[in-house]
Amino acid sequence: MNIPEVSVGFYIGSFPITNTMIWTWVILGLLSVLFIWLGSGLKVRNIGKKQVVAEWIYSAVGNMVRDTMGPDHAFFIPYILALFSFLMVSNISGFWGLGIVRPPTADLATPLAMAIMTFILTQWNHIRVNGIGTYLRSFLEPFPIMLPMNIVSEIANPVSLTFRMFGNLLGGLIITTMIYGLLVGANTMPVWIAVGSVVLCVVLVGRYFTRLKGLPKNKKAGLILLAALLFLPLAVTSFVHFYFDLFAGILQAYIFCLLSMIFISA
Amino acid sequence: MEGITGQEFIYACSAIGAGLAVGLAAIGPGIGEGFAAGKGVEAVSRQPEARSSIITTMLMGQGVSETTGIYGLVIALLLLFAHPFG
Repeated sequence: MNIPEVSVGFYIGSFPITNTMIWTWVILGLLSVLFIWLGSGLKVRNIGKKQVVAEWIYSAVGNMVRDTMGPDHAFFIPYILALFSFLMVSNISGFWGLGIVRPPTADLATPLAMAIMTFILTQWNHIRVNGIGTYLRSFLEPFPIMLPMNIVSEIANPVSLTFRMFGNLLGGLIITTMIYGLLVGANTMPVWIAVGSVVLCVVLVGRYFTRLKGLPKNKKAGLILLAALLFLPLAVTSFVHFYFDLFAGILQAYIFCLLSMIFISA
Repeated sequence: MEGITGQEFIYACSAIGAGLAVGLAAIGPGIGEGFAAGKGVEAVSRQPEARSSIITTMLMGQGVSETTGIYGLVIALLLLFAHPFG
């Protein structure tokens, strides 16, 4: 079982550059280009299709932030939008192919970095809203003896955010890898084997489709069984990809953003 | 027990511990998520027009309650791949 690992690609000086960082930069670059393109040339009247998409994205995230955090925290919309788009694209990047892209969020470092940003923003926002005196006194509530408990519960938030996302993504990656290994026996080429099986299947079906009516029943059943066997790896692996990459990935990105908003505005 | 080194013994115990960690930690979230799903079905049958927001809330709650199971999974992964005891 070859689970894709966090590996060091090259060094800059003595600083190791891992594949996580490379894919993070690729995703950030793609997202930056996308959002700069979406946000360029905005008009008030006579808007184009591009601006409709941009406004839809902004108003969806904006409504979510206003509903959860209150209208006086509307300046967090860019942060939440950036967090959500980055996490969502990183989580579903495993969809592009196993062994080609390792989702950056399946490395402990990426969710930890996001959780630390949320933690710093949380403390800053609490100080900004309540003032430093009330903020410090809130650690002594309800009794001064609860100070260690309050500090631990404050630190537990980023830890739980980190491990929720990391565990989900790494667990999904391991299960996907195991199912690939179970079905096709090789871990590096499953995508191409699946694609090849589809092509073969299409060729077979296309070639025998015209003669299928005249075939005896047992041969027909055998052909259908062969086609089903060829499709099986594709069907099972695509189901696994849909569940672990698309469903769990988008859900975890949403939960991360929602809990970030709740922590920041609490 | 002849021919088994201490290292191998620790690896075997880590594998058993990993299985126990995931298996026992899966009980609580399983019950909790099932409970949330059942309550979600009840809520949808009572108010079918609020279906989408009920499902969103339910999935979010399930995702949060899944965390305890994920902690067990992380411990199991540590035991299997990081070998903290040798």
